[in-house]
Amino acid sequence: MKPYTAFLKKEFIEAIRTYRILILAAVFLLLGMMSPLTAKLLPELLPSLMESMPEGGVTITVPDPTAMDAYTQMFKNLTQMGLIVLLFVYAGMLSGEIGKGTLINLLTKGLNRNAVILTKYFSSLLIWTASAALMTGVSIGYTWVLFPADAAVPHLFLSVACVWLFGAWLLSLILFSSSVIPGYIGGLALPVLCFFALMFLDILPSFQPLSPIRLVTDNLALLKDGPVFDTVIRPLSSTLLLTILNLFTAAAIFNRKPL
Amino acid sequence: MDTITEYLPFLLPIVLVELALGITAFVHVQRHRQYRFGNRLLWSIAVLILQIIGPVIYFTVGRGDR
Amino acid sequence: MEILKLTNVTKSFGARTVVKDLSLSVEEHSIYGFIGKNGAGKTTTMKLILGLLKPDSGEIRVCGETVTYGNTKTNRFIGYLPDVPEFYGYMKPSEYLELCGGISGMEKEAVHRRSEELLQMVGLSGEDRRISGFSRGMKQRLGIAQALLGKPRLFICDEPTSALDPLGRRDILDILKQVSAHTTVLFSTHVLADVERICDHVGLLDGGRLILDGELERLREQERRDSVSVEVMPEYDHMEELKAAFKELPVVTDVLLKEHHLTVQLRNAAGAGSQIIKYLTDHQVPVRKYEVEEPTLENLFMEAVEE
Repeated sequence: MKPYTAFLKKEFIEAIRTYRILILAAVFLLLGMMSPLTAKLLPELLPSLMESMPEGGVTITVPDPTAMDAYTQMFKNLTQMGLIVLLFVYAGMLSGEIGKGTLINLLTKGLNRNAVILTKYFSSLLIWTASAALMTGVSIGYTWVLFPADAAVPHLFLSVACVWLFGAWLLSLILFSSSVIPGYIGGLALPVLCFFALMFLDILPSFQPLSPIRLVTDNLALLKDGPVFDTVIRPLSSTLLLTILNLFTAAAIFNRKPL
Repeated sequence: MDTITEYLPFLLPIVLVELALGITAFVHVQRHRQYRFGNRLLWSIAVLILQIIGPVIYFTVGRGDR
Repeated sequence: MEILKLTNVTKSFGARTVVKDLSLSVEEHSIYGFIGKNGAGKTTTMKLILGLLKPDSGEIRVCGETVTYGNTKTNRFIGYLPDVPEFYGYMKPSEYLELCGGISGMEKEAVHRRSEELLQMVGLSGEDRRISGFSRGMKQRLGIAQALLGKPRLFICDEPTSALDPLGRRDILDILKQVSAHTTVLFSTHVLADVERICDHVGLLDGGRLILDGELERLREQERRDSVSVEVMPEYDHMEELKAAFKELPVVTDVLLKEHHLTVQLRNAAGAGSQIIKYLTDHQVPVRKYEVEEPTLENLFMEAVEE
């Protein structure tokens, strides 16, 4: 166990001193606060923007925003900005070390190569979990105060869990990708490629219900309509499977990689 | 204006966190000489003007190793 | 005891064979200088020993155990200093040593004690900066400290002195000499002076082959020319007679005269030299310089490479 804990400790020192934790904490905290506030302020700002236009006269009636609007904003921010920042922050987690050769020393000291992959995955997953929890928590708090009438939204945690699993899949894909393709770009390549491939494949009716993409596109429907067994379980299990597969492949390739 | 004063307690933390992030990045830019690309002036402006995105890009891809 | 043994090891990258049928062995408690030009295959050989590369054929044994590629168990006997040691720039030296200790499964207390001791030895104690601010020489010292943390039986360093200034180079060599009291040292270099300074064994690698190998003293002995050179003051003008007189001596095989400089070939330089000296003093020849000619490593290597 000692090698694992020593390397895990190193991963956390790295996360702090290379500003990974600072960025993720700040971004997810900000997104958590901004989402409900945007939902609240947008309808109030919209009319004043309209009035300032020279061709006035168009009257728009904006319905009063609800907590659902706050969570709409939150999921939009979480699935776009949030995941992109996560990807950028962690894209170099393995490729940086391969490129600079910092691992060679530790490997010759008997550090298992599987341990490298697993520990990196575990530490990044832990920080991603904390970030998603921070954002959700802050959003809930802000929504509670800004929309006291209907603050409670059902199925919120299940919906967040879907995005969380998507992020977990993304992190495993970074490791897989950077064990194959060198450089910081290597960490980005497969996740970006896979994302576009999934978007493209989404037109296939047979593939669509299984796609990990469902986890980040159906969040609002999930909040509104509640979980339908098939629509949630299928992408959840397929994504979980893919995540495990990614990690195994990453470890297998990394084990054979000359450093 | 009324709207802003009304929601000040909610806006203030956002502004503070953004500012803290921007200033941390700005200080880092001043204290380091090497960047993966760009120069000191570019990054100084980027991290202060582009809220959130500036510091994030600086810390993830712009920051030099040493 | 043989601490390291390579038997007929070959390694190619594509069509280029970098190590060709290499066999060599390193005895315990020696300082083995692994010398060769850049690109001779030194680094590749070291990576093979560490299991970082897989040999195409042949066998490598460390402390009697076979080296396997991948998760290399034999590395527990080895401390390794890469040619350009790369550390985590955001760590302090003591933190890095703690990480290394943890990975090799050492107790926290032991790591702490040993770190202090090693940082002291390499002259980095009390250095509280992050590694990113270190100079090349300081990184090299930290590299030595991390390699020796687990008290390895074999210490491998790849070009530890290249890219260092003369002062830094001397410091590192002194540290290596100090280290060799407790552990076997194998180090590569392309600088002959480094080898002459501290090594007792030497192996010359050229084009992936070991073309010269053995104890430094013995190699020198083998190649010794058995000759002495005598330089006489310029005012002395009986050089021809001196040459003739030397030729008369039974131990002398040949004499070469060039102005006031004589090169005398002997049957045995160590024993017969005294007869030359006796003759010179008996006849009151004003000698400016007398020396037994030593074969330099450079000459040895030049000859080996040419063969």
